[in-house]
Amino acid sequence: MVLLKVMLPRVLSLACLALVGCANQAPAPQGDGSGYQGRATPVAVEESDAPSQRTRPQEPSVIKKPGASTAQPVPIQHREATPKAALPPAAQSLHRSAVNSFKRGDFSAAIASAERGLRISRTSPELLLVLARSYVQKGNVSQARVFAQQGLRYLSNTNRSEKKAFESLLDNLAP
Amino acid sequence: MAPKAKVKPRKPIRKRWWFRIFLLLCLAAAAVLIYLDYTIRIKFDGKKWALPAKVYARPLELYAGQQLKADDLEFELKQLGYRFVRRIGQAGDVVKLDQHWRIYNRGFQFWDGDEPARQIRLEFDSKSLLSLTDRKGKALDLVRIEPLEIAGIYPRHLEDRELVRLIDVPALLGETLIAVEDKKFAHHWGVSLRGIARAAVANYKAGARVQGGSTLTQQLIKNFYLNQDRSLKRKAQEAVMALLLELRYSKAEILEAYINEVYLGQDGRRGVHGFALAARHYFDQPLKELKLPQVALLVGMVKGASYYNPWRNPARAKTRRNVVLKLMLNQGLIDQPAYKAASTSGLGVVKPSKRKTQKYPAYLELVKRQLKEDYKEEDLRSEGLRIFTSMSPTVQRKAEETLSRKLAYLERYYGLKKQPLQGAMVVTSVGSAEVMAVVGGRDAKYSGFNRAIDARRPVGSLLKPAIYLTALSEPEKYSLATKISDSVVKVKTPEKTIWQPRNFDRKSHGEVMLYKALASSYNQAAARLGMELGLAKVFDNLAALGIDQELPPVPSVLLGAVDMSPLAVAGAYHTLANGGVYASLRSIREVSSATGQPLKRYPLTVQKRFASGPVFLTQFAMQATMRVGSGRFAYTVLPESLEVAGKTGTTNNQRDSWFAGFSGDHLGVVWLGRDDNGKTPLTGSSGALKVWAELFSKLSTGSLITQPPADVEYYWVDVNSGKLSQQGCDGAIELPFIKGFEPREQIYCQQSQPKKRSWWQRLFGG
Repeated sequence: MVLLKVMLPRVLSLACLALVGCANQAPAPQGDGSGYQGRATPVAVEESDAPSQRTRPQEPSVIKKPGASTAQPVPIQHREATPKAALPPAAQSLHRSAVNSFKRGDFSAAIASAERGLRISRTSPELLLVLARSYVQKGNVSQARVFAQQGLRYLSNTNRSEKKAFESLLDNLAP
Repeated sequence: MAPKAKVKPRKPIRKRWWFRIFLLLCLAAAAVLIYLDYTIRIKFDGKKWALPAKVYARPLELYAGQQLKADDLEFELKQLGYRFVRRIGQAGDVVKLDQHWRIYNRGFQFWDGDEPARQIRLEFDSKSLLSLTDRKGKALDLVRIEPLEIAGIYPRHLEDRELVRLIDVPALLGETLIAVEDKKFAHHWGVSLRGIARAAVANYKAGARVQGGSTLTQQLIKNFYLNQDRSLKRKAQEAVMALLLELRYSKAEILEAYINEVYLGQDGRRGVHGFALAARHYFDQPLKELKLPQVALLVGMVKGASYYNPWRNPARAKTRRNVVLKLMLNQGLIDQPAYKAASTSGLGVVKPSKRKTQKYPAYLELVKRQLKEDYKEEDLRSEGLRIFTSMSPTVQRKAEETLSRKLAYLERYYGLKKQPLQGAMVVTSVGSAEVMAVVGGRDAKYSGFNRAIDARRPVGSLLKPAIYLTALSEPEKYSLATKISDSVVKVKTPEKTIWQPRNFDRKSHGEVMLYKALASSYNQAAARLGMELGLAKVFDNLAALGIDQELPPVPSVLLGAVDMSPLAVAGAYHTLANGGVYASLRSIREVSSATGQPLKRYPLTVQKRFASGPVFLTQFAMQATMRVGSGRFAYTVLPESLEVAGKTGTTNNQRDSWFAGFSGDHLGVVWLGRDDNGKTPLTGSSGALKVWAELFSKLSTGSLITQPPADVEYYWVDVNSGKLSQQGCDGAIELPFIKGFEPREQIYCQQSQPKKRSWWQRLFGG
């Protein structure tokens, strides 16, 4: 029973691999299906991993990872969404300045301040929102839409009120 | 009786010939005077000088929490001519006590307002700026340091000057100038007869011209309106014009014009005019921060800027300076201790190598090209425009040094002395699409061929991400776990030839997951995938990434048989780095007039070209390139915690070695090769990647954004079958998928770490 349990997945996996292999073993494209096949231009080639003619130059540091085929492509601990840090005071200050300009009706100044803030905190939804709203006021809907989409993209899941603000803005901007 | 002589009636004076001639002469003189007066006014009232456009680097913005190394700040402040002193005294002073800094920054008139000159306090740790306060300890949100002037676009006659108002000129400089050049300046009417007589006597005694009798006003007239001719006629004209100038304008206006006009040296072909520019040229300091001996030297050089050049003739310059100092003492402008200290001090000029010539020709070339779209060249050369760019002096310096050092290392290692390597690099910020650095060749100071902008070379595998992005944009057909064949691929061309790309290692790697095919840069898999998708789709996406050049409609384009410049590659990769949002790369932020009036701002303009999900997945595969693929060398120098993505590129016979990659904040593209397009021993991994990795290890940069878009979720899949698996299972890896398109089938999980089994499980199984 135990032996079966251990062996079964391996057998299944081998079978699957064979099937997948067959299914994906597409014949080499012959180039007659597309109108793009053209002259045989010199082809660029690419290394797989290692340098070619000589051994790798000896640098002070040594290569740490051999890179096995089953290695996790990207370390997991770095991929988990980290909770968003609060906007740094410098970006907050520029956000305030952008909002004040917006309220005064100086939308160009609002855009300038928001852009300056984005240089400090490039994914700040707050700054992207004021940028999007300023472009709405300037009648540039396409810019407004992209900045709103970017803001929504970088918004943390917990920020419901801002999410609503972005969504309603995007609804209004829908083509 | 003799007849009485007929007495001719006396002609009225107005009819006499001599009177008529006199009248005619008067009229002619009046006409000349009117003409001269007009000449004086038209130039003096209007724009006095053709002012060069000044090009500035981005201002360094300081704020608490900023990733900023103290060394980088020190470099930037030294570039700006800040003085590292023990006690803070005036603007431009810095006191550095371990991690605690005090800076007396200079004010600057920015596009959007003035930054005041003030004392600030900073505290650092090894990587960042911990706190920023004013001198009383009150936290400051943001402080902008004035931007570094990186270049000028000079008038055709190559006169350079920096205008200064009299109010901003140190009083001592004005007083010394008058004391040395024209003691009676305040009292004469433009011409000093006593001065002329004194000079004539001195010249007669010496038997040569040893002394000039010109007043400051006459000198100004000569330099400003006339030529250097010494004829009597020209001297007369000079005297008349000096009188007229004095009648028309105040002494203050004349002195201010003189201070801005005077010739004070030569920087290559560029003439250095005015005291303000001379202060920067010789001492790398603003005029108002000059010390006593420096003021004396500059005033002394008015007599002969070339003769008293402190670099060429330091002893002569020092003697002249001390003559001026002595005169200052005699006139009561300085006291004895000040005289003694100043006359024994060094000249204090900057090292010739540090002089502010065009230091960044490659970057300036990019700026000029962008400016030409909006401004006439003549305006750039004469209107004194102030051009604010996004160039980062720190990033630029690091890029230049890294490229130069690595090329020398690679040449040494591979024995390439007779076949020198060249290289180019472009670094941009991610999101704002601002170009931060451009290196046009290994000798960055040389303003010749700019390889970063003008060298178009085949890009090799750099276009592969576009193939994979095209595939991942069809989530119903492709995911990162989809297996594709890396077997030999053959494509028949219209010329009846067979296009058969080969892998670099000349091997086929069987069925490989999509992410792995990109990470390992398998040619056969990429070519097959590209042909499966159809060239049209891939080409559309190459265009959407920002490649606006026409591509030959041939399959070999899939593997990079396209000539592109590093700048063009950077433009396309920026779209990948920026989550699928295209923004045209730019180097100029704002332009303002000579007086600081805003003229034009160049805002960030964006277009959504790709959905976030597929771009996120492509980025993941490019991260895998760096972790387990052809770019993994990078992590021998980068910290493990820094998430970066990138792609190597190599062309036939290894003529070109490319690397393009990005972090969360920066994007860098590196090309290495030879100018004669000869073979090199370098691949993308063994050449360009090394330059890129070393540069990124030195930048203060943040990781890629790890938060997936709303439509992306991670799943564990079995690396062999591509089916769903679980964490901890043999061969299980975690990959991101577009929601709803993850694998459906689940594989039975074989835990690699057997669970602890209870005694009864061990006994009975289960």
